[in-house]
Amino acid sequence: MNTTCTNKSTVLEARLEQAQLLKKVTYQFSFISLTRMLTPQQVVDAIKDLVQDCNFDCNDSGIALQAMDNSHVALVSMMLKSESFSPFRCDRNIALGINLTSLQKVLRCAQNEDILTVKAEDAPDVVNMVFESADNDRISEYDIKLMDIDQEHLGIPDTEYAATISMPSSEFQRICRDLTALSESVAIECTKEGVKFACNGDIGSGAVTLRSHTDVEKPERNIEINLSEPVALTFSLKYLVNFCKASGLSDSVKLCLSNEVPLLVEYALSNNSYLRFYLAPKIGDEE
Amino acid sequence: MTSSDDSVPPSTPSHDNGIFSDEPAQISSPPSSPPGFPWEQQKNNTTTPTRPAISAFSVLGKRKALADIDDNMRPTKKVAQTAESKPLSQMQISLGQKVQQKCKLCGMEYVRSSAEDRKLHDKHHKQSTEGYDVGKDFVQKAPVGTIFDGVAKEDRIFTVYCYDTAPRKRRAQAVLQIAQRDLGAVPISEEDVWGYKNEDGHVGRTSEPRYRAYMYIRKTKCIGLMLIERIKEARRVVERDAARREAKKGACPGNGSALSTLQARRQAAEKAELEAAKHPIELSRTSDGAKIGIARIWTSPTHRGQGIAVALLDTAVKHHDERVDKKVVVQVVDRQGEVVAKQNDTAVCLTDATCEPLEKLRGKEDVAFSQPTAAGARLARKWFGKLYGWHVYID
Repeated sequence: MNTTCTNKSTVLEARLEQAQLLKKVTYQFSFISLTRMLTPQQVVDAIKDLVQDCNFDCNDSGIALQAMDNSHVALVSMMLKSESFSPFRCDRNIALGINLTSLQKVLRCAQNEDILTVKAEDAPDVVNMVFESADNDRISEYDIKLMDIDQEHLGIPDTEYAATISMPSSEFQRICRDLTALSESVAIECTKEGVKFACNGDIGSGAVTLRSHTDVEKPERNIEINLSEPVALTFSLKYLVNFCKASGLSDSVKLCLSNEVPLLVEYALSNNSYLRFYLAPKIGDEE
Repeated sequence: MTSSDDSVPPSTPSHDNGIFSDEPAQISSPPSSPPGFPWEQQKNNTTTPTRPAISAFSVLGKRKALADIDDNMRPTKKVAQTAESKPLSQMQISLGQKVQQKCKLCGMEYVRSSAEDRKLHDKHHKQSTEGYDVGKDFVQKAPVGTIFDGVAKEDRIFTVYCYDTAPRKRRAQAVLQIAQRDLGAVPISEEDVWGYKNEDGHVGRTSEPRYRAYMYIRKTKCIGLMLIERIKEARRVVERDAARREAKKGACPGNGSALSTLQARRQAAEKAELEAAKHPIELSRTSDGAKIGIARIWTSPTHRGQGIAVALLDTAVKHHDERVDKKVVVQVVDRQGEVVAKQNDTAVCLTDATCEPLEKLRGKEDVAFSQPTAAGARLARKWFGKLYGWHVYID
C-alpha cells in the first residue's frame, strides 16, 4: 500500500486499520489543555493554552506520546504499540512535534472506518497522513508541518498502588458526570466493602458506592477491586470528566490509587496499547 | 507610565527536583512577579507545609486553588463557615520536569504552570517579537514635520520630544524602557527626557529640548528607537598604539597582481575590523565640538540586520539640517504673534521659533555616540565608515 513513497527514504510508516482510534485519542489531548477554560476572562487564556504542541515519539516498539497540562496537575501518556498497526515500520527513533490543533483538524477529514497511514521521512519537516476509504477508492493525503518542540521526556516510575479498581468505563463516566453537578471535587474512598465516590457541594452532598461484582454473561460489566490497604483521596472532577472522554476507546477503565501518589486512570487499548492519565490529588489545607 | 507594566522579566530560582523529590512546596511558591501585598506574604510564610511521606512519585506543591475550580462556585457564606468543609488545594505532579522554561524566542524564563507568569510571558513575548504596539492614533495623528521614511515601504520614523502630547510621550517612554532593559543601559530619568525643564531650570517651551527620540515604526509596531541628546563636545576614538604599529607592518604591499593586492587589502581591512572589535575603544585626550549625541540606539532583537539603526541615524542628521533650514520661515511666523504658532501647533513651529540658533551640522563628525556597547561600536563603525576617528561623548 505504500505507493506514495517518494524518492526520499521513509523512516516511519504506520498503518492503522481504523482511523477512529487515533482520532479519539488526539481528541483527548486537546481536552487536557481545555481544562482551564472556565471563567469568561480565562476563555481567552484557554484559547491560547489550546495551542499545545506535543512530541510523538516513534520507535520500533510503537508511537508514544506524553504531555502534561499547563498547570502540571494532570499528565497524559499514550502508547500505541507497533502491534496495533499493520504494517509498522520505524527504522530510527524520531520525535514528531505536532501541533494538536492542527492534527485534530486533519483527522477530522478522516472517516472513522478509513485506513490511516502515517509516514515521515528522515529528518522530517512534515508528517504525511493518508486516509484510504475501505469501501470505495477514495484516497486522501495530508501533510502536517512539524514543529521543533523542546519537550523533556519524563520517566514515570512504576508504582505499587494500594488500590486498583476496574470498572466499566461508562460507569465511571456516569459517576463523574453526575457528581460534577454537585461539587468540583470528589473523594474516592476505597475500603474492603467497596469503593465510594463522595462529594460535598454547595447544594448538598452525594455519594455513589460500587461493590465488587462479576457478571458471567457480560464480563465487561465486571467491577473488580483489589486492595492492600484502604485509601481515601480527593480529586478535581473537572479533570476526571475530561479523562472520561476517552470512554469510547475502551469498555473498561482501571483506577489505581495510593496515598501521596497521583491517581492513575488507564484505558487499555487493544494489543497492549494504552492511554493513561495521571492526576494529582487535592489535599486539605493544614491551617 | 508605571514601571510595573514593563517590569523586568520575572525569575525565580530554579529547582532541580528529582523524581523522588522531597521538596514539597517550593515549586508552587507564588509566581515570580513583584511581591504581592504584605498580608499575603505573611500568610504564605506561615503556611509552610509539613513534609508528606514520600512514595513512588511524589505529589508536589501546595497550590492555591486554581481558577478553574471556581466554575460552579456560588456565594454561600454558610458553607464556608461550616467546620467540616475544609478548603482543598490542588497538588501538582512532579516528575522532575523543568519548572522554569526559557522561551527560545524572547529569552524570558518563566514558570509554565503559573497562569500569572504565562500571562507576563505572553506580553513580553509579543513585544519582543512584534515590537511595541503604539496604536493607530500615534501613527495617523502625528504632527506635520515629524514623519520620515523608513527602510521598507510601510515603515515610518517618527520623532517625539518633550513638547509632544502626553500620550505620545508615554508611548515613547514605554519603548525607551524596553530598549534600555534590552541594552542593559542606565535608565535616564523620565523627567530629564520628557520634562519641559531645561538645564537652567527654566520651565516652558523656550529652548531646544535636550533630548529627542526617533521611533522606527512598522505599521503600528515600534521596532527601533533612538534617543539623541544635545551635546557640545565629544572625544575622538583613537587607534591603539599597538594596533597602529601592527597595521603599518602589515601595510607593506606585496608586488603581485592588482587582484592579489586588492584581496590583500580587503583581508587587511577585515582583520583590522576584527582587531578593532576585540579591544575596548580608546578615546583621545582632547575634545572636539559635536552637536548630536546618540544616547540610546536600539532595534528589536528580531528585526536586526535590516538597516533600521542606520536609517534612524541618517534621519536624525537629515532632520537636524531640515530644522536649521526651516528656521527662517518659522521665525517670520513667530514675529506675527504666538497665536499663529499655536494655530499651526506643529512641532516645527514650537521648537524652532524659540531656541538658541541651531547650527547646521558639518557632517557626520558632529554626531557622537555615548559609550557604545560592542554592537553599538559595530554600528558606529559601519555608519561612520571608518574604524577610528569617530566620536564618543561622555555623559
